[in-house]
Amino acid sequence: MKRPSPYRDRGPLQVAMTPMIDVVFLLLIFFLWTASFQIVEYALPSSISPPSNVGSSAERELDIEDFEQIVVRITGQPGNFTYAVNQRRTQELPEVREILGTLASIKNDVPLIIDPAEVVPVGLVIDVYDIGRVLNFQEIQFAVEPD
Amino acid sequence: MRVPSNLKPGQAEFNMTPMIDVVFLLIIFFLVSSHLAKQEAQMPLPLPTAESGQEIIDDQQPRVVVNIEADGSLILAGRRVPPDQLKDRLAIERGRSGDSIELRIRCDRETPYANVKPVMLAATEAGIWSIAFSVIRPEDAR
Repeated sequence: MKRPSPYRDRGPLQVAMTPMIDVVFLLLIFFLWTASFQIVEYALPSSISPPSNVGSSAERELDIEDFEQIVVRITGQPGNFTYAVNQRRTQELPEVREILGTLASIKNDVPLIIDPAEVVPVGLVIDVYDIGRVLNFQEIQFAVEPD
Repeated sequence: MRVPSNLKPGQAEFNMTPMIDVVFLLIIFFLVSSHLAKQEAQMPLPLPTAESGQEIIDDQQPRVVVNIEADGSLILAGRRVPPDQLKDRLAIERGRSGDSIELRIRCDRETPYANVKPVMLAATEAGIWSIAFSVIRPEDAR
């Protein structure tokens, strides 16, 4: 005896496109909105040094064996800036990195104080600060003098 | 008159499609609204570059963001703030959020240090000692 099929009452198969299109559009919008086109930002923690810390060693010659702090001064005019690591002057950032690298290899637990002139773009200041962090200086501060 | 039904007695049918539609719409709504809220605090600026920047963790630490444009204009919570009022505004924020509040400085990399220094001074005078700069990776700046 032939067994009756349970599907005999069903009509022809129909694929409903409308809900599928709805869901596909929703997914499309969802991924477009959640995709981040913004550049990822990072945080660079910093600290501030009172101005009295800067003066004491600024007059001293750079002595590799005995230095209590390293002061990086950035001076000059727009387009022509000079870096002075204690008393050693240079106009090249890679040279600043080299000098600080030498100092950090000897003693990286001394405070590194960055003392930029007011006209210096903050990008250059952050460059020096970043070098200090990359070289693992334990304490990096900005010199800030009240007006 | 009774409306004839296609369903056999005892058969219930759930139409899931509208429910999925609505759920997706709600998800998108909440995602978009939170995304816009974040963007409000991140106005586009050419930030300084640094290799040693730390990933920003969306923790519970209270934070106040000050944007400094190239011309030195200060923007706090989406509004321009005169420099002489910044200290008071930061003091209010500190009073509201406590001593653990962090100042996040987002500045144009070309702005002179003279525009950033007063912000750092105002922060210390307002009792905020935790200061961080927003930076981007050097490869992202190109």
